[in-house]
Amino acid sequence: MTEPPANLPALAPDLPLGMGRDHDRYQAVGRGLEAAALEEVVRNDWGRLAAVLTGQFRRLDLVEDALGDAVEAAARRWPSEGMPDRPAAWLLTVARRRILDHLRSEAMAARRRPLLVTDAERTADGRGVMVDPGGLIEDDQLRLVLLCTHPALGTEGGAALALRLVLGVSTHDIARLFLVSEPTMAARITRAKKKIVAAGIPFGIPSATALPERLDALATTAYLAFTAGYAPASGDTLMRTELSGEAIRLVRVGLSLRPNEPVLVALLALMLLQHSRRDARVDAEGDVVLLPDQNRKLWHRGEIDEASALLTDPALTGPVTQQAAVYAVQARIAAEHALAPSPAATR
Amino acid sequence: MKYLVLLIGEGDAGSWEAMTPEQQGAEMLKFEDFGAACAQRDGVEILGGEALGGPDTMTVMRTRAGAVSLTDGPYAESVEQLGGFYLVEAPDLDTLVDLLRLLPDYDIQISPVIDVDV
Repeated sequence: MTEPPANLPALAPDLPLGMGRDHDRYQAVGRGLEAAALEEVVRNDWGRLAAVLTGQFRRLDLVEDALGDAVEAAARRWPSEGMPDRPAAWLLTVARRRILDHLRSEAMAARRRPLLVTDAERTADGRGVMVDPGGLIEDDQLRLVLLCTHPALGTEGGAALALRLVLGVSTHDIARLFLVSEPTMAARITRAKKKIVAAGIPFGIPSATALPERLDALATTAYLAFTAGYAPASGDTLMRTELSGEAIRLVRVGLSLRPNEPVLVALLALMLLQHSRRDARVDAEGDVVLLPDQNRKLWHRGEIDEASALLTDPALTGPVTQQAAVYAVQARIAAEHALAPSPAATR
Repeated sequence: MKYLVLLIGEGDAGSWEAMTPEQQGAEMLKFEDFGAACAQRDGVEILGGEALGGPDTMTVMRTRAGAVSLTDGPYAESVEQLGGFYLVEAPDLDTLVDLLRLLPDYDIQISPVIDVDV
C-alpha cells in the first residue's frame, strides 16, 4: 500500500534537482531558462508544497512520489509550453492530481470507495490552487519538519527523510552525503516513511511538554546530516561539503518556523562557523589543512559575521536545554578561532 | 490505533523490591494517574493491562521439529524483563508517549498492533 504506483518513472523524481547525477550533463548542454527556474522553485518551495500535501491528504507515502512526478512533468513541459505564471501552484496542482489518481486506484483495488477519496476531492476542488500561504501552511511546514525528525525514526533515517521531504534533495545526493549506495538510501527513506505510518507518528504539533525534546531531536538530526558531509572519504570531498550546506538550510527552515529557539540559534551559529572554513580545509591535492595553517582569506567572512551575531541573540541568555548549551559553547570556541586575525592571536 | 505497551526495564524507577512500602505506594499512585489521564483524554482507552510475575515464574515454550520443549525462566538472557503491559487505544504515538510520562520511569517498548488478514 505504501509502494508508489508502477507507472511512475523510478528515477524521474531525482532528475531536475540541480545537484543530482545529471547536473553535469545539464551544464554541458546548456540548460534553458525553464530548467534553472524549475531548480529554483524546487529549492525554495518543495518543503512548503510537501507540507501542504501532507496536511491535506495525510499520506506521506504518496507525497514524495507525487511531487517528484510533478517536477518531472514540469521539466518535460515547461520548455515547450512556457513557464506557468505561478510555478509553485502549477507543481502543487499536478502533484495533487497524482495523489487523487492514486487514491482512486487504491479505492478501486479495494473494490470500495472510501470516504477519504471523496473528502480529499472536495477539499481539492474547493481550494483550487494555492493562493496565499498563510499561518496554517507554516504550521504544516513545522509539522512536516518535526515529523521527519521524530526521534522514533532514528537519527539517520530521520536525517535522510528530512533532506528529501523538507528540502527536496535528491535520493542520489543524500546517498552520497551519507556514503551509502543510492538503493540503500532509497530503502532507508522508504523504511522511515513506513515506520511513520505503521507506528502512528502524528502530523501534529507536539505538546508543550514534548516540544523542547522534539526541537532537540530536530537539531540532532540536522547536525548529523551536516557532519556526514565532513566525514573523511576518498574523493568527492568538495561536493559532499557542499551537500552538508543543505543541513544548514534545514536548520534555517526550522528557525523560520520557530524563531529564537535557543537550540536552533546555537546550532546554526556552530554550523556556519564550521562551514565558513570549507574552502580552506583542503589544499589543491585534496589533503586536509589544519586550522593554524589555513589561509584565512578563504574563510567565508559573511558566515562568520552571521554566526557571531547569532551568538549574541537574547535567546541564548535565558534557560536553555543542555543540548543548546553544548552547541553554544562549541560555537563560542569556534568563534574565537574564526575571529582571531592569526593563530597566534587566538585568545 | 492500538498499541501494546511493554514495561520492560526498571529504568530510573529502580527495583521494586528495594523500595520502602511508602515508595511503593507512591509508585502505585502513578499507575492510577496514568489510568485516570487515559480515561480523560479523547480517543484514548486502556483496553487491557496486567502486572506480570517475575522471571522465576516465567516459562518459555519452543517447538522444534514438532516437539515442544518447555524451559524454566524468561526467553532473553537480559536482566531486563517484562514486568507488565498495557493494551491501549490511542490516536497516535505522540499522544501515547505524552500519557506514558505519568508512569514510573521504566524502560518501555511500544509496538503498534497490526491487523492480520486471515
